[in-house]
Amino acid sequence: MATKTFTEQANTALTSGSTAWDADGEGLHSELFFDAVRGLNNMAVKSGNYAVYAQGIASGKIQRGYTGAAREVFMAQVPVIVPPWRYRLLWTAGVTAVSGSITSVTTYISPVLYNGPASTFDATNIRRSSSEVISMGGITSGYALADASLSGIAPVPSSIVVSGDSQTIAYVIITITGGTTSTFTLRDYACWFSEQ
Amino acid sequence: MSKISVLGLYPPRFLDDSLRESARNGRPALASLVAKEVLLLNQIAYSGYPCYAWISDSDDLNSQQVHRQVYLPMNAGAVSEHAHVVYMDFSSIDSSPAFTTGQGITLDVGGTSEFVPLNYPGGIVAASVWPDDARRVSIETAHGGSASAEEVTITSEEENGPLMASGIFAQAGQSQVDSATSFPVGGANLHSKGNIVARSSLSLNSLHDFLTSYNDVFKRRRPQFGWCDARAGSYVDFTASKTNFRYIFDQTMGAGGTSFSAGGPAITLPLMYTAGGRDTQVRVYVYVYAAMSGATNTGTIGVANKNSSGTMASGASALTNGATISGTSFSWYPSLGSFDGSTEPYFLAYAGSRYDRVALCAKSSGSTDSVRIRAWTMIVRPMGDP
Repeated sequence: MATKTFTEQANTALTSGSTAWDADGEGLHSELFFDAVRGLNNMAVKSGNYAVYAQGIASGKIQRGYTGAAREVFMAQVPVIVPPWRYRLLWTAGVTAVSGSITSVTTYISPVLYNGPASTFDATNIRRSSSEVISMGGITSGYALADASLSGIAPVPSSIVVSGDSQTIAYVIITITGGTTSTFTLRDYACWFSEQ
Repeated sequence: MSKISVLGLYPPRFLDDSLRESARNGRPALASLVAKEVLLLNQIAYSGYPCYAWISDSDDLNSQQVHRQVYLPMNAGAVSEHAHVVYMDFSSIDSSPAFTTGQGITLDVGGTSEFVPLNYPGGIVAASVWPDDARRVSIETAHGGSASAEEVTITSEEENGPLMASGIFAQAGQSQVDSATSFPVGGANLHSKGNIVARSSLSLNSLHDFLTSYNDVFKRRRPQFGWCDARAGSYVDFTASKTNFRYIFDQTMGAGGTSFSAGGPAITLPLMYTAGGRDTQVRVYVYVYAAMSGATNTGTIGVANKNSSGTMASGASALTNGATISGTSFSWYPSLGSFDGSTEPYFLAYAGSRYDRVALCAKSSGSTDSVRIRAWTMIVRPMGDP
């Protein structure tokens, strides 16, 4: 199968008149449909990227803490609309270490809700999910952005099935892995879908 | 009423570059190419898109939750809407979890509302544990297209549960739409494969629709983002430095405090490819649900974000066409109603890299009163409006 081309720049609006077709009988200018080949591909997957921004309601923060050994902690989960062309999920997460340290931030995309414990995350509850881990280098203070906007989670797992009958819903689940006895906050989170 | 298949919920049939040969250098475009483009255009227009998401976690909420947003359903594919809410039957602060008549969640879009009852007699009567007891419910409305900016509310109807832990509101995709009430490019008038387009008067309407629909999708089906403090009576109060632009989620950031940076506290807006043509900036219209703490001073909204070269501004600037916040009663600024892209408040966001970083800020005209914000919505639009 031939590879589809997605131009670097986004779409250009089509205009009536000499570069398109103004319905005055002069005939169809082929450029309209020449440009639309790439323009439509781009509109499908780039400008309409199904972006989601989510944040805690209480001053925008979600905070968790624990005493004892290092562990992965559930922070949040939010439903997302999966585009029919789903391929790649990109994301960023702003985090702050209040005490202790942050080793990494992870996003899972799952066809089902996470119904496991919050204090020690159990990924076996979402076996059909895919994930990406961003290392935070053990930060101990201040704000840091976990940036997974380059490669992201790809492909979105086939367990998330696209149906022509209803909008496809999946769940994005965010966890933070911390060091011994730590408290941290999830400050802001954004995710969006991208093509290959 | 007849239906037109627009297949907005199906994987799109992308177009191959080689197809452009069918419409090159003045050559009349083949009907087979036009048919493929019409199919893909309809799929995009009616594929739906997310508008608002939230995480309220297991915050103890001892009163009704109301999520409030602005929604701009001006695109041709606006037929219906839906919300997907992850909820628990009760919050940990509900003192006597039990069934209460009227428990449930209401989605209201511009006055079109739908209620879904939750919790049942004899059901769970203990405090819920997050996220162990998380469930999901879907609510659909059929408000459809509008020339106005509409208010969306998602409400937990009773104080005694349910707790809306997270969720999303979206314009719904469609696979079929009514031919008389919707705006697809009709397939009925397209020539059969192999015919030359624009050699028959029958093709006129379809081709004109294609141009109109293409531009509509291009300019009106764009991401929007939002946040809301859904707790009754809660808001962010800009008290740290009332007369300086400070960031809503970290009031140490801003004029007289810490300078902004791309890696510092801010909101990520993934806007690459959302501008038109080779533009590196795109308009983002801003609505805030705000009030003042008193009647003496007025408020102004600003943002700090990346400039046209992708460099993060160190300080915030007021919105273009910015509204003036006044009075102690919360309301939307600007007021809702017909949308005029030339007069609504906006800022230019950076679309030249994978994402912009945006710090929404507010300041007061004097030190007596502070600005209070309970919700905000950002709506992306390329320059101008069709």
